[in-house]
Amino acid sequence: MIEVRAVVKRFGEVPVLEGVSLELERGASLGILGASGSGKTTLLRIIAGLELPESGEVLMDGRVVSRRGWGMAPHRRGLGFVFQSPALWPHMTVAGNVSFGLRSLAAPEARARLGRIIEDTGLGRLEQRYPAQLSGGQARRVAIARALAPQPEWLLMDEPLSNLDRAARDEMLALVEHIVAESRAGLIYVTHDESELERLACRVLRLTEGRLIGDETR
Amino acid sequence: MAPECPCALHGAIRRARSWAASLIFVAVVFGPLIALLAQTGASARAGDLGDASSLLLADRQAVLLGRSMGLAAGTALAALLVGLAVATVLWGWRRAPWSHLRWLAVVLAPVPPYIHGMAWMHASAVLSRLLAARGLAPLPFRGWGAAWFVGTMAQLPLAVGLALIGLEMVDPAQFEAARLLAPDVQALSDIALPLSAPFLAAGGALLFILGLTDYGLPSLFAVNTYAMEPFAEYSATSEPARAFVLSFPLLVLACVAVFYLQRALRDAASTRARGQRSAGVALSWPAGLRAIHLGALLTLAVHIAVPAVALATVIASPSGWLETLRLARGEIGLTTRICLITSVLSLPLALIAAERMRATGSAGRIWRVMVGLPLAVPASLVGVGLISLRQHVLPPALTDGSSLLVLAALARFAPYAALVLLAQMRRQDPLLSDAARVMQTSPWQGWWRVRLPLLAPGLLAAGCIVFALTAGELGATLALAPPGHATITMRIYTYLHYGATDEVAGLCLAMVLLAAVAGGAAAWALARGPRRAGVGGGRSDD
Ligand SMILES: Nc1ncnc2c1ncn2[C@@H]1O[C@H](COP(=O)(O)OP(=O)(O)O)[C@@H](O)[C@H]1O
Ligand SMILES: [Mg+2]
Repeated sequence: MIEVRAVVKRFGEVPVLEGVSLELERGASLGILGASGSGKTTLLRIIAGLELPESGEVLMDGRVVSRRGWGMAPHRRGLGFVFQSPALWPHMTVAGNVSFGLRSLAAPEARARLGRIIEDTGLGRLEQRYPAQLSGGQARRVAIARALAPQPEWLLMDEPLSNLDRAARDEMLALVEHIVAESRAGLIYVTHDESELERLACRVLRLTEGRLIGDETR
Repeated sequence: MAPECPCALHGAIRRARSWAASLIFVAVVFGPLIALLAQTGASARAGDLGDASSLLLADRQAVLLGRSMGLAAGTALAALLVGLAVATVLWGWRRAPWSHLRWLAVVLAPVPPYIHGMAWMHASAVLSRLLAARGLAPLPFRGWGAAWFVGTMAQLPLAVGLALIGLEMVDPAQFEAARLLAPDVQALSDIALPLSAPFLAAGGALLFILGLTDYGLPSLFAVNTYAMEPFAEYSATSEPARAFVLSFPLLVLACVAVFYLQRALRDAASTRARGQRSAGVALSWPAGLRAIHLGALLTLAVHIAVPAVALATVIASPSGWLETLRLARGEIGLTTRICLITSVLSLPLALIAAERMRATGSAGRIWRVMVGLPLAVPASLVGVGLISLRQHVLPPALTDGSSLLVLAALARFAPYAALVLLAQMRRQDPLLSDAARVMQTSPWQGWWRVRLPLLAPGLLAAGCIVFALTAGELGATLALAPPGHATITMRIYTYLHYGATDEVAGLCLAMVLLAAVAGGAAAWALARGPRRAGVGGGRSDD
């Protein structure tokens, strides 16, 4: 379970989040809608531990993982994160990128896991390619595979479909829907485009003026 | 795209202007070398170089070259390792509100190596006196070990700067993606270090070649290095051609180093600007790495504190120091004039080179080599080359002592200015000047109102760095040694022969302060610049 309690975040004088609260049961899927600059990315980064709140807390399974001045290391939170840009590591192949989070596993198990996720994301023939040799849509699929490979309990996605054309978006949406259901991970999906949420999220919140409003359940 | 100009004449004029600019850069920066090359060719044809090849291949020289390379590799490696450790700490602070203060670690970079050398000699003398007072043996602070240690200290700030630039070239999103999946050390070792490795290797090559071509510092510790040979040969025979032949091995090594440098410059030039990102979460390192960091930071502190304290304690009193400076006011005035002229003249040269270095394809490559090569040319060759230019080519107006010193400093340091400008250009969103290109009413307006203001911090920084480097120039100055034109460096060198330590320390301290002020101003300009200029208009996510 993820709980966000009255999180406040400012950048200098600019208030971005002004008391955001949120409660999500394990395995739930949440969409967050908000205009550009409304603080969506900031909220995801706080949940992931890449940013600390000025006040308020983030809890996972009842444990405080972030509060003012302290945060549990991001990699120990059991989260996958798909950034707005794929942010693949250019010096590693697709396989290298995806298996980065699998190093704690024994080699045979890691290999099996890699094979499965590569297949699920349709990256079969691209395994040995480098990021520079991928199309935009392929790179995003690698980013999703990389995030899901360690079997996180939560997948955070920050506008993962920006800069894709219509066809690639539809394809990616279908992939995300399928693969999230398959992995049974909870999903927090952030976007400014309501249509993306239709099939992905059973709950939708709006982020405006630093607050989350309008809990809709679908 | 600029609209296609209907008249071919316009295009021809523009191309001619561009070629003329390139030629000016080549003439100023490579003139001395070209003159040497021509003179060597002439001497070879005239048979004057009969024994030069035997001179070059003598056993003594091979051994000396091998040892010098060992020394240079040792200092470069040590400086790079300590520098990398310091840089990872500083890199971790990149999101602090005071993050631009981190560049203060680099301000002593323009202090010439021989000044570090003298400061450490003073320090060891003081220590030896203390030891002797307690009846202990004095420190044997001479020879290769001492030269290695002080050489490492002298290269440390540059190494820190290079390592920090390398780490900052890593895309923050790529690093954060790793932090989500693995501990910070692993994100550092598997993502950040490999991504910056090519740049770090090039930085190491640069440090190596700077160490190899410097003879000032080793000679202070009674160590004879190969870099001294061409200069010694020239002093003995007054034949520029022989000096050139003797520097041949150094030039070959320089070319190899420049190959790496060129590629790193390409990567640096093509990395996109990144917006200022959020404060983020502090990196956490395991205890072992924290201990290494602490050691590295202490070393950095020592490399600043020892020269400062050693020089300050040798000076009898503040009034004595002022008196030293007053007595040297002629030299200080001349040095200031030379430095000012050089730094102003270096800016247009740097602009010419920096813009062309960004080009893709072979044109860009050639320019990156042309900017990299002068960093690796032994300073005394520039001096000797200018002497042969003076004899044959230069108009009389340019042959007086201070003009020659300006020319020497331009040839040596204009490329550094180009590198600083390149760094500044890299940090700007290319869309800013593209927008100007689309909307300008004339190229001049776009240049004057948009591109120049955006570059202003870079120009200021480049000017400061050239100023400081010129003030400390020794290699070419000694070769040129214009009668009646004493600069501060020459004064320091002459004093050193008479062993007047008080004066030497006083002038050295003045140099350190000057370099620190110039370096600090440059760091300030570079650190503030892009934020004022608005990188890409705020924050971008990729
Ligand atoms: N490091 C930062 N420094 C200053 N302002 C920032 C920083 N990061 C984000 N902001 C500001 O916070 C607000 C929210 O940003 P963000 O979370 O990226 O919004 P979104 O993802 O919804 O577009 C924006 O106004 C942005 O300018
Ligand atoms: Mg965003």
